[in-house]
Amino acid sequence: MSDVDSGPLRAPKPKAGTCIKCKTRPSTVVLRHVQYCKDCFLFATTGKFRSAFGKSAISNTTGHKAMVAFSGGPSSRALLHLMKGFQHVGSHQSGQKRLFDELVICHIDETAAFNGSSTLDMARVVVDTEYPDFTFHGQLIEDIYEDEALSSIDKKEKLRQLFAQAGSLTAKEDLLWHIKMHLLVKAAQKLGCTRLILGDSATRIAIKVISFTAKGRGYSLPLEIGGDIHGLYPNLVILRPLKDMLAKEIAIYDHSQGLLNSLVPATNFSTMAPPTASIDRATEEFIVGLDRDFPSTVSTIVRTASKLKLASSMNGQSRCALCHMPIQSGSKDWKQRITVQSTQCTRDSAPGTLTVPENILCYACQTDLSESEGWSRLADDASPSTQLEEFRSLGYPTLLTQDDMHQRIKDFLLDD
Amino acid sequence: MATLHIDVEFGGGMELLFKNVREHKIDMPEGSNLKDLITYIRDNLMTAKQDLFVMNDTVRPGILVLINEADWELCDGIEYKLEDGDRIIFISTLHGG
Repeated sequence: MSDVDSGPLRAPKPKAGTCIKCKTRPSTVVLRHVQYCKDCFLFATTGKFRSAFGKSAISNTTGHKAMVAFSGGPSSRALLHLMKGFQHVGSHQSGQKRLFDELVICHIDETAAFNGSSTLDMARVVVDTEYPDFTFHGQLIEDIYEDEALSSIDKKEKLRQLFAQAGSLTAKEDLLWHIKMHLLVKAAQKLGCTRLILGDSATRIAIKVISFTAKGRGYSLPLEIGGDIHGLYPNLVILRPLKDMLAKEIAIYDHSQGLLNSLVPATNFSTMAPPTASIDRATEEFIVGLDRDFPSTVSTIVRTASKLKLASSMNGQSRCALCHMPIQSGSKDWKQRITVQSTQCTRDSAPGTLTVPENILCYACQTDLSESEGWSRLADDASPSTQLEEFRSLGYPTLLTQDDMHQRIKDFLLDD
Repeated sequence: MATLHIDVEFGGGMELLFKNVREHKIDMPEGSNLKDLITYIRDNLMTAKQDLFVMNDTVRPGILVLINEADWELCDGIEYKLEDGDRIIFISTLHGG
């Protein structure tokens, strides 16, 4: 037996030094070239989480009911645990109120889209046993169809058909995410939550910056990655308190807190998929690979992208029926300028395939849907209301409210 | 030749690659390093998707390795010389959100 077997922390070998914070204990974690011991790492992590809420004056917490999106993956598992500590300390310090009045933990069971076994009970058990102060809200993904005439089996079938016709894996992944976001927003609004807390890590945000840009979502990018987003949905602020934490930090936190045993297994389109299966997977591979050799990659991308501002042309009126992000006008003209739409030497393209229903869909969702069956039915020469009807008949959910729709079709309405 | 008893654990969704078994006990010959262990795992514990675990003779980026609770970057990484009773944990850092 060698001498390293003696203490509880027997690992640190040659290159390991002492913790940069306490300067006494041996380091066990390296983050962006900086070494920490376990205790100082945990202290820094909880501190960073706390300051994410403290940074913005408008994201004050008292008087608000918040919903935490809990998929059960490493990030949201850590998020749940950090929220518990956060709420707890707040409620016990004198003169300080509980941070949020109430926390609802929302888990979306997406297994209906993949023939998997339900994750709802697992998620419920985690919340009920470990976080009894929080309210659990389970949501089945097939309930995106609110038609009460449909049975649960009918809804599942409808959902599977929708995904089956969606085209590439990239389009499927996007669609899945839009549906989950729909359900989260709807559940939050229904339960009276004014804050929706998402578990996007810095690593995830860096991946989103690159993949969303590649997919043509640049116009709304600041809304998709910001830590504190107001005005996207009525009476609901989107918060991303993990946005300064690397996936590695989150994994170490999960491990050190014993949370890895209670993850909810995620089975979706990209599970076990090869690295080039979709734009998201390929980007993930690229960023994570780059970050291993250059450990400041993620934070550089995140910091740079956080400087992005919304375009002044964004008026908030015109929203995409699928992703609910603002629609950049003129995408049709722009597309026509930069793409070859017909060639003389090939056979004629089918009529209708080049139409762009830019009245109801943003550029990125148009691109996703252009691979799907039924795309040509969304002809651009139809009125927005007809387009929306067609869009719905294809099985797509839409978040648009009556007001939004009225706004969209008002040009076609006769004056009273 | 003496044998090294190594405890190996998979977490964060990595266990999906190993028939959902999180904990494994592996015997390695004396003098083995972490690279040998990774190769052993790839060749003996996996029946498919080996490339989601190993790439270019090391673990795929995005997989965190802890050697006796310490970040492997502090322990010579892939060249770390295994010792009897070592506990090696592989955690996928990017699985779900």
